[in-house]
Amino acid sequence: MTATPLLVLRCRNCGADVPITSPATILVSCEHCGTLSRRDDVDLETIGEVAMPARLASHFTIGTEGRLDGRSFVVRGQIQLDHGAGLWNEWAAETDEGWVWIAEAQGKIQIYREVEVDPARLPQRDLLPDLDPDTGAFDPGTAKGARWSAGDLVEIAVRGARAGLWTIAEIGRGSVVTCRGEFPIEIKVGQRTTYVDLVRGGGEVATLDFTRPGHAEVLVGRVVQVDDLFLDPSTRPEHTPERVIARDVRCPECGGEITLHDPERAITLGCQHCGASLARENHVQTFAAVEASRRVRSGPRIPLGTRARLRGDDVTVIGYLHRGVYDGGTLYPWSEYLLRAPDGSYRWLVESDGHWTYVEPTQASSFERLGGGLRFGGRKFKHFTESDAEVLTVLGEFYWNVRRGDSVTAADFVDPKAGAMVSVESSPLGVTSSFGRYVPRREMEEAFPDASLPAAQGVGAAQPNPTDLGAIWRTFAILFMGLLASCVAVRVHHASEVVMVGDFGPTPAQAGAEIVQFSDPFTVRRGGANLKISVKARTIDQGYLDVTGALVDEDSGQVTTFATAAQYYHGVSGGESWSEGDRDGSTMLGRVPAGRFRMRLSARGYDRGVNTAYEVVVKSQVPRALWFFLALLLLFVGPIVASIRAMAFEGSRWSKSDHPWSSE
Amino acid sequence: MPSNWKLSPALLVFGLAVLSLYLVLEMSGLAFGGSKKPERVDPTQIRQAAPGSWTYAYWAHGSRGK
Repeated sequence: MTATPLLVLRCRNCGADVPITSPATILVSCEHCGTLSRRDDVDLETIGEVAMPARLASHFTIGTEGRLDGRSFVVRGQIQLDHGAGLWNEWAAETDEGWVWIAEAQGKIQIYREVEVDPARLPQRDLLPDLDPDTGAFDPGTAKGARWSAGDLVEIAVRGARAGLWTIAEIGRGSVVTCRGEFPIEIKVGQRTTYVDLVRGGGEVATLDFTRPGHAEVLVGRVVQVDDLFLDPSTRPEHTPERVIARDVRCPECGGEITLHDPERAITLGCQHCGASLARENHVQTFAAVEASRRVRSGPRIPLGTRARLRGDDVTVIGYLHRGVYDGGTLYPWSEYLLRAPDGSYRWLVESDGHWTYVEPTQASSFERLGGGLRFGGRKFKHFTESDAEVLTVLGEFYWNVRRGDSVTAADFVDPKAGAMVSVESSPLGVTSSFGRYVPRREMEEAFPDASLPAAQGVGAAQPNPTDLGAIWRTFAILFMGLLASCVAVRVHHASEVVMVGDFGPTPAQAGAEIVQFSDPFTVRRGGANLKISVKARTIDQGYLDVTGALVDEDSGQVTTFATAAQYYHGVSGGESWSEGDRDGSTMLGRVPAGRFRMRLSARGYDRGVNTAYEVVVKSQVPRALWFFLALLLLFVGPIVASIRAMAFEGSRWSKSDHPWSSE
Repeated sequence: MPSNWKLSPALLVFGLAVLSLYLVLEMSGLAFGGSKKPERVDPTQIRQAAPGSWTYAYWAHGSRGK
């Protein structure tokens, strides 16, 4: 498949050569004069003249070659269409197995192929909403009940494949504005097209084309990335940024001068001076007022026309929408700024309560509904809010028709961990979606140093939680393992050496009377270690044994006193037995030097603790559970404090949602 | 460890300090509470101690002194 012409015919209008490169070509335009001709075997039949297509940023031009799924293709023709939301290109490409259509809008690419469908199971056109007699567009009010509306499910049974359910993403009418190149089908410039766009998960897309009389033509395809097409660089168009020359227009309401930064595509204009809404149709140069002047209550914090570099994009602020939802009579507003990039694509900056999100449009086929949430780009998004959003103010220029009072159902889904949000706006005739990322205030201030940015209040819907609980608990787990390992090492190192065991007592028969006894001399070999002195009164019952003692270093004369006790009481109270105390008592002496020691023990018995014998065990270098639990407690402090902070942050976030924290 | 397994550097530093403290406490043999500060008792003081007191009894048993 090459660009070498099969034959060259002569344009009947200008006489220039018109090359035919595909045997399937039945319609061709003259590159010199724009005459559109129908091809027969040896000649061209003039149909009419067409305008040159508007220059839209594109990855394709006529002659662009590439590969898809291992099959090569070459672009033969270009159609430019308009459906009231700006122009877009559709490219007719010839492959080894027939023709495919490449739809390209806002930098997104979809590839379609016409498929055969059992006519008996084909959706019928009487399911389409009624047409508005004035505008020729669909009447949204009739897109209900028995008629199709966006979000409805449609079953498509492609021949040779299992029937599948698709979701209606958009129902609309458009028109073919112009075309150039070669086509395997008839193209009627100016003809109104009627389409129903369908999507399903995994980036699959389909279109029901009701333009021709009779049943719909069905095209099925998928969303692709430009890298998937392996385009031959030598056949791609030169990718120079589109040079847009600003143009000034005068507001017909107030006479104020308005600078258009996107003059080719702007079809709605909100006058910054008087608030009037202006519009133009069919891409004429002049704007007509569709809504009179009104006082602008909420203007943009970032002046229209501001240029900035944000997230690697050079953008110009060209439009401002003030939108909001009413809940119980209270307005919850937010602001949206339309940004235009040099490649002709659009972005949004959305500000709500001083929190900013950088948004780009995405396709309804790119996400999947998951219960109440959705999956997008391999990540799960939780449902945040859903409400009817109304346009309150329109200022600046827009590439689609937008009016004050326009209302759509807007649903937001958030993935706070990624600082991301997916917004889905649906009306009876269409579903649009966008993907946004939270922009910290510091980044906004750097991008728009002259703007008066509002102070942030509370927590933003997509604001990442500054506390990374995962990292904190992972760190805790590592530290806990380290503490356990240290504890084991200490137990291995510490001998818990028994340096003295002796039996003492019994205590005198009179309660409180003292008996003083001395131990045999004993040696402590490990100097500086602790010494645990345990008293075990195994026979004590309903009594108390008080032992005070002194450890005497026989070499230095240093004396260390200590006290401990053993007691055990039990009984029955109210039919329930009870007991308290411990027959064993112990105490710990710190940093005992190595040497020869003797111990003086003074014991007193109380209650039935009289006449009680007891045993004393002295151990050197004993691991202390106290230190382990103290360290564990300290290790817990950080994660617990961080968890409380993180929960408070999330509570604040979700308090603004349809799912306040209490129901999470 | 997966590359997205981030750790908290601040907590890691704090935790390592806690582990160090734990090891210092264990290895130094410190034992807060349970005993009074050791005192040096002079043999003369022991001899002069009143009968009945533990120092007297200790001396009188001939364990130390003469």
